Amino acid sequence: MLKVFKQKKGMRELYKMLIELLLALMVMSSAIWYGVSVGTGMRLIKEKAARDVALTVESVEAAPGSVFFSYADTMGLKYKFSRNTVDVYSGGEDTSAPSSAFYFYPEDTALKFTLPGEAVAPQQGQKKTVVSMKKNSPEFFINSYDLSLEAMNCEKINASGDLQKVIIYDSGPKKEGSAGGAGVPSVFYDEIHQSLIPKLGIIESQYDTDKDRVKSIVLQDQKSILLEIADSPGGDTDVKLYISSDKKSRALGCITRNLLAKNRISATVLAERYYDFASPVRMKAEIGSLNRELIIGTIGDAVNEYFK
Amino acid sequence: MIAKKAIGAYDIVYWIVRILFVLMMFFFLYFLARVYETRTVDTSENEARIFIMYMAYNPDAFSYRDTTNRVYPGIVDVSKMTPEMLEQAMHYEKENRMIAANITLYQADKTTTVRNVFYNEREYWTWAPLSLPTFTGEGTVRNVSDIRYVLYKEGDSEDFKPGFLKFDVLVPKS
Repeated sequence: MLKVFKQKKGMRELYKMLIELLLALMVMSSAIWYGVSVGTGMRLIKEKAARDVALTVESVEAAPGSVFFSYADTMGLKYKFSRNTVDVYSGGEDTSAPSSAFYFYPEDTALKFTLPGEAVAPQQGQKKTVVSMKKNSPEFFINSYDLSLEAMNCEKINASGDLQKVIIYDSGPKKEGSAGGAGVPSVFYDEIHQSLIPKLGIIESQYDTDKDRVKSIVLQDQKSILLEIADSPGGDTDVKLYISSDKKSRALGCITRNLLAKNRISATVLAERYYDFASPVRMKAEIGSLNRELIIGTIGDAVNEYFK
Repeated sequence: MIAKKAIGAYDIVYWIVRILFVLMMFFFLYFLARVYETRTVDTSENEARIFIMYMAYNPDAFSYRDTTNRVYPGIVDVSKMTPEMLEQAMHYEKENRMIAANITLYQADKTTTVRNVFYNEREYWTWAPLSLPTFTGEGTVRNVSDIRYVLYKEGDSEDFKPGFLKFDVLVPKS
């Protein structure tokens, strides 16, 4: 074999083969690079964000009357508003130059627009910044505010003498490949067992994924807290906390919401309308796919805070 | 026996075919990625629907206002159906390459036209041929049509008459 390459014709064949190999590698690597950059890069996300914000501005403009709208799903991107245009940048990008991801929104000339001077961006430490739009004819404001500034005033309750027990009902979707039934791992299983239960410390906890069994436990044990961890049906990044009308339930929801806000996670406390369980102190947390570990861990902190 | 020159010529032809094939592959991959991108971020239908809502409910668009300035969303003031009013209600600073529409208000019989107005008329006629179903994909134009039952007020008449507002909205797909 080597003898062949020592000959003139052999060398030519070798070069030809090397060039062919090089070309094939170039084609393959550039195709893979392009595919990966389209599929996983920020470009598509930024383009979508630009369109989403621009269309939201347009919708708020169209509203007949005064409107205040918070655009909470800022995804850690920077938004720069100028006349008719919103430019979107990722974290480290320089905002002084126009972005490759931008979109146009129309202006109602009867409205006077006030736009933020600088790019609206999440600040250091993963602050949750919300882009707000306010229409109050004849004025239209686009601005940003930080959720951490909006802590709710929680009612004072004394739960230190209560039975320190938490029933954790995991109603999240089951992990792929697992059969239905009690005790099967759900998508929240790891986070609940690694972030929530250890944080409860001396507080007794009981975990279950079976609705009927939880129902019967709750019927026998009315003094425990019932925590339901559920999947957000719309895949929202915001956490929704459903509470009962009980004073203690309201307090737990309020504490949880404030602790989440401290961690820059947007959460809304809502009164539940229909619920299957009779437990007076209960909270159902609907969680999306983002920051699950942190959210569930924070719920553990909130339970601790509640019993203090 | 094949001559040396013939072998060389054959090699060249062989390489040309290979290079052409590689180029075709590149274009095909690029085309696939662009199709994916366009489909992922295509908002043309949403834009058209928002445009219809914008015109129907924005106090500065078609909505009727009484003498106290109270707004009646869904009730069309025919005097506001002019290209100038529409342009003021929905203004783009640069050349409007975003959206165009043909809006017609019919009486309740759906045949007698009360008023016909264009938004961004020049682009509307430019884009109209591209909105035909023959053309699909990026670079073409989406046509969204909608008919809404409305009440309208014409001239000094105190009455609100029933009618239909027809929208033909064109939005380029990009």
